[in-house]
Amino acid sequence: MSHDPWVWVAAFFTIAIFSYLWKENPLYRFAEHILVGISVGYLVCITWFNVLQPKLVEPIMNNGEYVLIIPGIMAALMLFRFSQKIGWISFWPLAFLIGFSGYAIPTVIETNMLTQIQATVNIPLTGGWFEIASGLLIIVGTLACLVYFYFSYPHKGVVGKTAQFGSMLLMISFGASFGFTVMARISLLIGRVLFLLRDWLGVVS
Amino acid sequence: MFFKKTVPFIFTLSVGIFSFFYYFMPHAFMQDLWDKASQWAIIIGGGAMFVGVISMVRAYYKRATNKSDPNRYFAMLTIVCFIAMTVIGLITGIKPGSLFNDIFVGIMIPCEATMFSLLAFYIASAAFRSFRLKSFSAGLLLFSAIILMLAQIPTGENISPAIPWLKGWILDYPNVAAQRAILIGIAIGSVATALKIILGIDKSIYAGVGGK
Amino acid sequence: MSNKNKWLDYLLNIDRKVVYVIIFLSVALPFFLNPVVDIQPTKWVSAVYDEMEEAARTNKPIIIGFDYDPSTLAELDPMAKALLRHAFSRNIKVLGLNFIANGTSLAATTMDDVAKEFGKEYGKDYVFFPYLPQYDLVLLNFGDNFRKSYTQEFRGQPLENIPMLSNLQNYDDFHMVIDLSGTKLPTIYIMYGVTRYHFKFVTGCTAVSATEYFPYLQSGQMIGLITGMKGAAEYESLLKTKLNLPTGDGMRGMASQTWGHLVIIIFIVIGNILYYVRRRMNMEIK
Repeated sequence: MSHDPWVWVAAFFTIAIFSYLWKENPLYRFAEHILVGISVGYLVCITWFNVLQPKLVEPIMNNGEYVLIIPGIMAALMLFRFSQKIGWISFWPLAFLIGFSGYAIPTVIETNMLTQIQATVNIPLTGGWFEIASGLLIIVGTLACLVYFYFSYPHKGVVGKTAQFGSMLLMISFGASFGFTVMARISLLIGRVLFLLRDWLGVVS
Repeated sequence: MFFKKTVPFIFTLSVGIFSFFYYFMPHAFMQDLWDKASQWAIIIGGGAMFVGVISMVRAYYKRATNKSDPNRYFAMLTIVCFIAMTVIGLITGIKPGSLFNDIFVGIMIPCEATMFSLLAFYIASAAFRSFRLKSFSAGLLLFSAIILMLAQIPTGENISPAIPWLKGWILDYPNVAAQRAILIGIAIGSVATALKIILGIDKSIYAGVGGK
Repeated sequence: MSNKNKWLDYLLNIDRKVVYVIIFLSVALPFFLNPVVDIQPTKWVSAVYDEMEEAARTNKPIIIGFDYDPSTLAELDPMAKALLRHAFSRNIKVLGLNFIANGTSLAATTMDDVAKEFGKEYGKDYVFFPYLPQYDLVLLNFGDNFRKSYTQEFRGQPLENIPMLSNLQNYDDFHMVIDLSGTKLPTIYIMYGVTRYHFKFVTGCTAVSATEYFPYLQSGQMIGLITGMKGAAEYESLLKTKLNLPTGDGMRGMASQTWGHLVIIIFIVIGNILYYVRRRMNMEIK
């Protein structure tokens, strides 16, 4: 069994959260509300020490970079969001941040469209019949799934059959996703059980 | 109206156009301007965190001062914990070995990790109660899921080496086709949305002030 | 018939707490049994291992993005530790990044803990950069010079005082970039990093988001993928066979993974059998 008091604290909170499985109870609510308070306090400190102090406060105070007062004021303007009358002031710094999505336009087109289409078109249809069929599956399958998502034309006739084939591939992909999700969820539980059995109780190595 | 709608639109349009052209123009002038603008964006992004903090404190303060709320003492506890964690962090620092870090490891990690580990129980319950083989599509989904699940564990290899091979084939071929189509579709949608926002066609982002 | 009906109704509407107890036992009990010792690595995990060995040969440092928080700790921390053990055992220097505020302390602690195992010194063998928001801009600026975004490292020292960083400037000075994340951050690394600066990129992701990265593997935008706890176990298996390093929590959890998966599969099968039996009985009654 562990002698570290913080391990015992961690075990207490783990069991408190697990108690929700029985039913919602004051112990769970106690742990949940402490988590919310501590998380927000954690975020404040991390942002202060990692972002605001080195990038705003120290350059202004130590290096005389007074131009940084402008983004400091803009950051403060975001707090006007809570005012009903002059809340529109908070849109100014928000508009500045949103403008950077202009860079995302050509980036997304190159990364997620052009390179992906290029990779589809460039699939080497060489090797045995199975390799060729598998390569064709990616090319035809990508087109079929795109047709499935195209709702401006009724899915009838050839278009309907293509969309149906696309939906079959989507189901296979979502099934794969579900299979992975099961592993993900069980992994999270394994993490906590290992902590309780090994780090706290010490009954497993 | 000028300051409420037009000024934000001018900000978004000018920064948007500048960002768009920065992608294509590696000149020193553009680089210098970009460096300064991105520094400002990082500082503003950091400051934006306080909006969330104040939102949280307002909501929980309202609950704590509402005598008819059954959870008012829990709400008070949240605010006390928030203040305590902030003060401790600012005094002791955030490095490993500090009291701040001990609280993170002793309370935040177990609470957050355990909250998400509850999902394992819910997926087990859903597997028993909800996953029904009602159609051909559902059959494809379940077949693919079971192949993946078996391939993830040594049992799958012991049953047949075809299972891990089939898992690899499903992920590298049909899955790539489907996910690629989704990726391209999302890319088209996000480009359209970004253009609408930058050109001021979609102004829905400039809404919801007051925070009641 | 009515007895059969009663049992069928009971099983179909079984209290969820019974299901919870079964899944809990299926995960907890295997820890007391013999652990799984051998996992066959997949080609994408082997690719990561090979690339790490190449980094050791070229003597170039690597970047690891520790972009996870406690909610994905169980899947990504074993991966992080396995990669760090590999790097430190082969004297590869590591630069740690972090863009998830809730995971900053987690990442710093993980790096320090593994570095201690190998006697590695902070500042000389590894360094951790602090959390910064606007990760897209930071990743973009990193390709020019990381000093544009970072002025000090996590412990507060100016970058000029860090010996490891003296000859390093941008992605070109690193052999590869690894991002460990349960969010969309690997896609952001590709969009704002790989597309413009063409570096070797590897992802360690949670199993939930694994399927969406396979198009990037096929297109060559990503060269390796480690998926969830099984991926971590595969990497640990490679480290054990090739470098004789001890396995970690990834391999430790595989026995529980096995039983947990089998229980879920059995639940799906039994649930469907009961459903169809009930449906057939209802049709017969009609």
